[in-house]
Amino acid sequence: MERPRRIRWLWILAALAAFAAVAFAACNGDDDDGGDGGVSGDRIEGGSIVVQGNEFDSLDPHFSAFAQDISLQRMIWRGLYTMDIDNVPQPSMAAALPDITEDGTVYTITLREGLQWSDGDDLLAEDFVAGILRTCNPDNAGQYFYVLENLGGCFDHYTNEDGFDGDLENLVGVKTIDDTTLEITLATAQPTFTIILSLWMTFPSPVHLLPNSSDPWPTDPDELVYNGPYMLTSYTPAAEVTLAPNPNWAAPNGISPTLDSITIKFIDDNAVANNAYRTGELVFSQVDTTVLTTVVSEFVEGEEYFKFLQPSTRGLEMQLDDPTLADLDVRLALSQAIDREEHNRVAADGANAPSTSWIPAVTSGAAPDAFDDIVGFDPESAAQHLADAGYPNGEGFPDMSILVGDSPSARATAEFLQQSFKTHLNIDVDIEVVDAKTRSSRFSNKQFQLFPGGWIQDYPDPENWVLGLFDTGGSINMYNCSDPDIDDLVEKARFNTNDAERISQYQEINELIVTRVCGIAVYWHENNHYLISPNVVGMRENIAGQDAYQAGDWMAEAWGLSE
Amino acid sequence: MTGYIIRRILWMIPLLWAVTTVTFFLMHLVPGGPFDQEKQLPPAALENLEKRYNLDKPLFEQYGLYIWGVAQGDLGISFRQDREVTDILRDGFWVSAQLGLITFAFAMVVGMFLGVFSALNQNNFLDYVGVFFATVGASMPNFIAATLLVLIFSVQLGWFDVLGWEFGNYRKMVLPVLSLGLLPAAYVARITRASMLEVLGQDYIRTARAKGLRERVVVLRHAVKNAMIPVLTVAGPIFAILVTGSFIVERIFQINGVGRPFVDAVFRRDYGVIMGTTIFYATVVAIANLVVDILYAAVDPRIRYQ
Repeated sequence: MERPRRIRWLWILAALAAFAAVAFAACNGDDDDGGDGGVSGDRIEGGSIVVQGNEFDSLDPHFSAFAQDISLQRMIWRGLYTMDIDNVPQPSMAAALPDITEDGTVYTITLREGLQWSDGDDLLAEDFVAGILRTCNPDNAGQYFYVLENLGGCFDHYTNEDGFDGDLENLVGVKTIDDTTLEITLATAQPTFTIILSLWMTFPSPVHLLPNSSDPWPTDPDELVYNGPYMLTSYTPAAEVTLAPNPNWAAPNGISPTLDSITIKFIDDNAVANNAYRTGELVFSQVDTTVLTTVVSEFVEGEEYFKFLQPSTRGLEMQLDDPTLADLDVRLALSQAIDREEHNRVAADGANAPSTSWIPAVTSGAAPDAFDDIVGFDPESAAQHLADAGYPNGEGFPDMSILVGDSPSARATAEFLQQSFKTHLNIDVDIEVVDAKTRSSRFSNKQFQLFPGGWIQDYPDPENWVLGLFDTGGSINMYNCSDPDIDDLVEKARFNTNDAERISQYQEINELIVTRVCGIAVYWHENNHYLISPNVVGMRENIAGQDAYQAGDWMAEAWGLSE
Repeated sequence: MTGYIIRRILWMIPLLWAVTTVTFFLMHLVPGGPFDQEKQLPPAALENLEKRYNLDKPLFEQYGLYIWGVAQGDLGISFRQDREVTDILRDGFWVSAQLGLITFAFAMVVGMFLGVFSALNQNNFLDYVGVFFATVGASMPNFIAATLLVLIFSVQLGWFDVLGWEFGNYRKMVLPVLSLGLLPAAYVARITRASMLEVLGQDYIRTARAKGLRERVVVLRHAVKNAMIPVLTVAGPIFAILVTGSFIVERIFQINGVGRPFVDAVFRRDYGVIMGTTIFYATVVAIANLVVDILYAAVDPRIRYQ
C-alpha cells in the first residue's frame, strides 16, 4: 500500500511543479512575440493570408445595408464606377465617365470591351440594368433603395403596396441601348449620381443565372458568378469565407491579385482577434480599442499598428420635441459642458478624433475645431446659457435621461456626460441602459431625450450627411431638427449642378446644424485601428476608410505578401 | 418500461408546445425588432422587409404560421443570415456536440476520479488537494478560465491555437475542452465526494470489508456503483448543457457551434433562430432527462418504472 501512495505523491508534485512553471512563464513572459518586426520588402507572387472579418448578413448587394456585407461584396463584384484613393469616381466596368445630357437627367454609359463574369459568360449592359432593377424591386426589400429614389420610377415601384409589378418595373428609368451600352434617366439632375453608380446597390446581376429581378440571390458560392478581383471559393457560415483570384477580372485599374487565396475569419470579438494576431493565426486584425493604450505600447505605429480616419461622426443627439431641449440655450449649454478631449481620453482611451464639425473635412465638411468657439467646451458660457434658459446654476432643471446601449464604451460615454453636466451645469441627468435593439427601437420611435449616436458615411459626398437627416420630416431625422434655413439650403443644394456652389451650400448647412445644435452636439470623428503584419502589403485605406472591417478592402486586389 | 418511455415521449409534445408558445410571445413582447438598427432604415424599406418575412401580419397569425411550420419540421428562417434555422442548427450542433461530448467525458472522468480520490483520503492532504481543485474549478467562471488559458498556453507558450475547433487537432481542442470542462468537472467531483463519503459509511460496505474483500473490489464494485445515483442526476443536465453549446467558450475560441448564434440571435431579435434553438434545447433537455431516468433503473435495481 505504501508504494502506490508515494507514486501518487510524485504525480501530484509533478503536476504542481508544472502548474507553477506555467504560472511563472505567464508572469515573466515578455510581450515580444506580437510580431517579428519584419519590414515590408518587395511584393511576391502567390501566398495566402488569413484575416479577421465580420460575418455578412447577406451576399445580395441589392439587399444589403451592413458595412461588413459591403466590404466583402466589393471584393467579389464591382460596379460601373469605383472610388479612387482620393474618393473620386473613376471608370471601373464602364469604359469612361458617363455621357450626361445638358439637363443632367440622362446618363449614357458604355462598358469596357470584352468584360466577362467569372464563369466566362459575357458581362453585358443588361446585367447592370438587372442589378438596378433588383434594388428597385419591392419583393427584394433592398435596404438602400432610397439612394436610387431619384432614378425615374424606382420609388414608385419600390413603394408599390402589392409588391412586384411588371408594369411599374418597366417604368424604371434604366434600359439597355445595346449589349455594351445602357441609359439611365433621372427624375432630376443629381450631381452625385456617378458616385451612386459605384455603390453596391448598382452592382450587376447575372441575367444568365437570374433572369428575373425577383429571383433570389444565391448563397452558395458555386451558384454565384463574380466580376470583381476575387471569387468566393468557400463559405462556412459563422466561421469563414475563402476567396481566390477571378481569372476574368478586367483589372480596370491595372491591378490584379497576387495572392493565391484570402481567408476571412468571422471574428466579432476584437480581443480574440488580437490574440490570434499575436499567435500568427491572423495577419490582420481590428484593434480591441478598450485596451488601445496597451496595444499601442505593444506594437509600433506605422509598422504593425495603423490608425485611419473613418468618415463617421458621433455626438449627443437631442430630441427637439422635448420642451426643454427645444430651447437653443439648453442645447448650447449641454454642448459647451462637454470637454471633448477629456471625453475621448476617459471614455475611449484616446481612440477617436475630437471634433465639433458634423461633416468631416475629408467629405468637404469643416475642420474638427471649426466650431469650437461656438459649441466647444466652455464651462462658463455653458452655465450662462443654462441661466439664460431659465435654469441658473441648474435650478429647476427638469428630469432628463441619456439612453445608451449596454456596452462598456456606451456606458463610459454616458457616465462622462452625466458627470460633466453635474460638474459644469449642476444638473442631474439619469442614465438609462438598454440592449442594442431596444435602443434602436426607441430611437426610431423618437422615444428619447439625450442619445449618444451618429452617422457613418455611405458615400463620400456631403449630401449623404444631410438628406433625410436634418431636413424637416426627413425619414431618419429622429431628433426632429426643423430649421427653415437648413430646409431652404437643402432644397437649393440637392439638385444644384454647380458643384462648387453645391458643396458650399452643404458647408453652410453643416455650420447651421452644429451652431444651432439642431439635433446633435458633435463630439468626435471615429478612427479605425488595425494590426497588420509587416509582411503584408497593399492594405491601404483611401482618404476616408469607409468601414472598420479590413484596411484597404475597397481595393483588395492590391493586397499581397512581401519577402 | 417500454410503456413508461412511450408515455414520457408523448408528454414531450405538450411540453414543447408550451415552451414554443411562451417563447414566441415573450420574444415579441421584448422591445425592438430584427430590423431596428443603429443606422435607421427608411419606412418604405422597413415595410418591405417586414412583408418579406411575414412580420407585417397580426401576431396570432404569425404564431399560427409558425406552429404549422414546426409541425411540418420547418423551424423558420434566420432574418440575419437568410438561412433555414434547421441548417444553422444542423451545422452548429455537429460542432457543439463534438465539443460537448469530449468535455462531458473529461468532466465525468476527472470529476469522478477527483471525487472518489478525495473521499478515499478524507481529511488528509490528498483530500484537501482534491477539494482545492474542485473549489477553484467551481468558482472560476469559464470566461476567466478560457482567457487565462489562452494568454498562457496560446499567446505566451504557443502550444495551442486561439481560433476554431477541429476534431482530431489537439492544438484546437485542448483549451476549449479545459475551459468548458473545469466547472462541470469540479461540480461532479464535489457530488461524487459527498456521495462516496455517505456510501462508505453504510453497513454493507463495512460488511464487505469484514468479509475480507479487497479494498479495490469494495470501492469499485460496492461503493462507487452505489454512489453514482446523485452523479447520474446531475450528469443529465450537464450533458444537455454541454452538447447544446456554450456562448462564452464558443465566442472566445470562435467555435462555430449553436451556443454563440443563439445568444447573438437574442440580441439581434432574430426570431427564427431564437425559436428554433429554444425548441431544440427543450428537446435535448427532455431527452437527456429521460435517458437519466432510464439509467437510474440500470444502476439501482430497486428503481422500477411502470
